[in-house]
Amino acid sequence: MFDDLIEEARKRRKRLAVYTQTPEQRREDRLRLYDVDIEYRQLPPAGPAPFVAIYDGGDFAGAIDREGVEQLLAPPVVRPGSTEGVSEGYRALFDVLAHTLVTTRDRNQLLAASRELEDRAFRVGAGTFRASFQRLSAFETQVDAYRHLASGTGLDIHIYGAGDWTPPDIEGITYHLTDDPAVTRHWAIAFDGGGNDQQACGLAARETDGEYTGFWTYDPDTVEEIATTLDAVD
Amino acid sequence: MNEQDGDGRAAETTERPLVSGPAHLADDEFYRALADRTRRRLAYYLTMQSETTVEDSTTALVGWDVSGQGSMASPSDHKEMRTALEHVHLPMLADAGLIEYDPDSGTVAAEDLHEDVEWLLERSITTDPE
Repeated sequence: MFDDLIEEARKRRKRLAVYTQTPEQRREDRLRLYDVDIEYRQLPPAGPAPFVAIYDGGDFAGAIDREGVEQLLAPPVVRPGSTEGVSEGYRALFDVLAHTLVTTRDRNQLLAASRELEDRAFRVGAGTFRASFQRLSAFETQVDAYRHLASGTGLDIHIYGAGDWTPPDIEGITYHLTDDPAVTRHWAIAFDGGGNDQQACGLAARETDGEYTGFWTYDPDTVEEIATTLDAVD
Repeated sequence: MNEQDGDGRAAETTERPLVSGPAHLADDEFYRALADRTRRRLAYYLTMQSETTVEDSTTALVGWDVSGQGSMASPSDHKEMRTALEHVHLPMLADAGLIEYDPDSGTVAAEDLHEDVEWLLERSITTDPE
């Protein structure tokens, strides 16, 4: 069940160390959207521009320019298969923050995360890709991106959602209309990796009063659980 | 030695000659310790910390490297930097009397530096082209 997976992600906390000349700005730090422990370090006045280090269970996982983090917090939403406007550091940070809970009212943040996963499926080009949009009307703005995803690949794409809108027929895309709360209350994605576990990826987020709490993952077992949950509502 | 300033600083050092200032500035070991960007950055970073760790010093330096870049410092960058700090940079800075370093506990702290030394450190950072 998605809620169990979300609780599981809550237990795997990461720690961020923010190196900055102005630690007094900590209160409005948008990094607080993530369920991570944050500490601040004072940089000397002529030192480098602020940066952020990420620790996973005490181990250094990566460090990136503060501006790169801003990109993740206000991410560019690009077409699958397009790497324009997305820095290498952004992708690395995205990887590092896998399995970290994020809570946001900004749908764009989840949309950008979804796009990362769609992009991975696009590059692999084969396998089964499942996405729950809560309501099919939410899929309307995504039709072009998914037409591109379906026509450029051999992906078997399944879209889930409440039937409040009639989507166009697109070869490679199967629609699953449902009122099951597992679908209507959650934003979920599962890509099986097309036979390569290392490429498997997924996302699960719960919507409560317009606020989303969820995570993305590269763990094949977790991805399979998301896929199984979506399969079961059919 | 105090002739080289030439940017308005000279007047100040005339009033307070370096002879009565920090012993460091006439010490070859001091210049050897600072003849490397990583050590200058580390010594300068530590001037802002009361006491810290080898771990934090390592992270500060690899983060400094990616600051302003679009890339990310990896765990292997971090490991490499930590080894260099432990085997080369920290002992050199400690021998020159710029920092206190305890290899057993992994703690690192700046020595109480003379303001001229701090000024020199900051100047070496601000004039660094990188």
